[in-house]
Amino acid sequence: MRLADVAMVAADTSRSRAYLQAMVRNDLLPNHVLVLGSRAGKPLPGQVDGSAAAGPIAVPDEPGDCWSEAHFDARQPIQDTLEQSRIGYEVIAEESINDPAVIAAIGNRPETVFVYSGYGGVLLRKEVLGCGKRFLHVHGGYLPDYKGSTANYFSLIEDGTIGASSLFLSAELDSGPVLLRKKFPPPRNREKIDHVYDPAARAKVLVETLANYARHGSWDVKSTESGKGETYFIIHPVLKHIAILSKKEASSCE
Amino acid sequence: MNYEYCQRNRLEEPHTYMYTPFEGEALLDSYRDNRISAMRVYSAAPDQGGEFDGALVRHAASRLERIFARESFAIPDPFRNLAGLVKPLPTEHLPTLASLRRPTAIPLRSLALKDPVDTSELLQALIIAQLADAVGTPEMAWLDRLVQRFEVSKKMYDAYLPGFRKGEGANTTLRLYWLFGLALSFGFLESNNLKYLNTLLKSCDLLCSLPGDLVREQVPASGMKLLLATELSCVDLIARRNEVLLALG
Repeated sequence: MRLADVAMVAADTSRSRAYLQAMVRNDLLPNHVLVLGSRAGKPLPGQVDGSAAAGPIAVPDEPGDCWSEAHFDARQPIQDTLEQSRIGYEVIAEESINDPAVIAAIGNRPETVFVYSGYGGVLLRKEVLGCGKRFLHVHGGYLPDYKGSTANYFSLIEDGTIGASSLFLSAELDSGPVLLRKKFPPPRNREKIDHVYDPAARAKVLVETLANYARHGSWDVKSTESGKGETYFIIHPVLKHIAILSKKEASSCE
Repeated sequence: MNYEYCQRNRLEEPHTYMYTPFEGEALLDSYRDNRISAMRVYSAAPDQGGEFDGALVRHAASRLERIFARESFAIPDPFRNLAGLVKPLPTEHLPTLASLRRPTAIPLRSLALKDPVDTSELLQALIIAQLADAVGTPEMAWLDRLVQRFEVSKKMYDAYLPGFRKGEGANTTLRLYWLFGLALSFGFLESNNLKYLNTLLKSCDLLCSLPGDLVREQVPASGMKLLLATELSCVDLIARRNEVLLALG
C-alpha cells in the first residue's frame, strides 16, 4: 500500500535500512524518499562499516513476535531497496536535514508527514520544524522514561528492557506527543544492538504506527506526559559493556 | 589491551563516545587497570593542594565511606581498600562544613540562571550542600546544568555567562574537572541516576588522560585517588547488579 501523504528523509544508515525494509515487508510504502548525502571513506554516525557484498549480518532467531523486524539486511544500501520496490526518490548532496537545500526539497513535496531517519547526533533546528511539515521519528527508548541518546543501553542496565517510541518531533528533545511505544526483551546477541536490534525495535514501532494510521486515517496520540522521565547523554563504553555483558534476567515483550 | 579513552589528551582532543565498539570483558579490564594504575601514581605523590581542598577531601572521604557502608550498597571494603582508608574516619576531627563555606560565596539557592556564574564557587557550594546532606531540587538543577554543558562541549569553563549556555575564561582549570567529578559521584550515589555516573566516567577519562604531574599542580593527589576510588566503586556497584565481574579484588 502506498501511503500518499507520507514521505521520508533518510540517510543511508542501518536504521534507515531497517525502516525501509520493514515498510516494504509490511506493505506500507512511503510516497517518496529524499536520500541525504554521504561521504566516501569513513562511515558517518549510524552507518555500518562494511560492504554490501558481505551480505546480511547474522542474528539468532528470537522467540515470539517482538523481534520480527530484526532479520533485515543491514548491509543493503537504501537505494537498492528503493529501486527494487519502485519507490520514487531523489538524492540530495547535503548530509544534514538542517541544510537549506534539504529544507527546500522538503518544502517542495506535497506530502505533509515525513518519516525522519538522519545521521546520528543531528537535532532538527527551528527552520526545519517550522517549514510546515510534520516529522515522524521513532526514538530508541521507552518515552517519557528514557529520553536522549543511547537511551536503550541505560534501560537495559536499569530494567532489562529495550524500548522504542514514535512521535512527531518538536523543539524540545523527545517530548512530542507519543503515538506508540513498546518495550522489548533484550536480544540474544546484545553486541548487535547498535546496528541491528535498536533499528529493528524502531522499525517495528514505525510499521505499527503506520499501520494504525493506514487503518484509521489519522495519527492517534497515545501519551502526552512529556514532562516526566530522564534525558540521557551518549553512553560511556564502560556502561555500554555492562549493558551488553549483563546476565540479568530478561523480561518479555510489551 | 590499552584503555583507548585515555590514550590521547582529552582536553585537547575530546572523545565523542559515539558508536564505541564492543571489546568484551577486556574493555572492562583495561578500564579497571587504567584507573588502578593512575591511583598508584597519586598514592605515591605528596599532596600539594591548599587547606580548603585538603579539608574537602577529608570530609568527602568520610561521607563516601558512610554511603558505601549502607546496607543497600554492601561494598564498603572494596571502596575502603581502593581509597587507602585503613579504618573508618573519625568525623569529630573534621573541620566544620560551615568553615568551608566562602564568606563571599553567593548562597546556591540565591543563584539564578540570569546571573553570571563562577564555576569554582558553584561547584564548591554544591559539594558542601552534598556533604551536609542538604541537596534539594535547586542543587540538582545546577548539577544537571553542569552535566549538560560538559556533555555538549566536553569542557568545563572558569565561568558562565548569564543563561549558563556560553562559557567564559579558560577551560583548562583541572581543579574544576576534579570538583565536578566529586559532585557527580555524590549525585549518583544519592539519586542512583545513571546519568551522573555516565558523565563521571567521561570526566575521569579526561583527568586520567593528562600527565599526573600536571593534574597535581591543581588537584591534591589524595583527592584524585579518592575520586578514582569512588568512580571504580560506583562502576563496580552497577556491574554487580548486572552480574558482571569487574574484579576489583
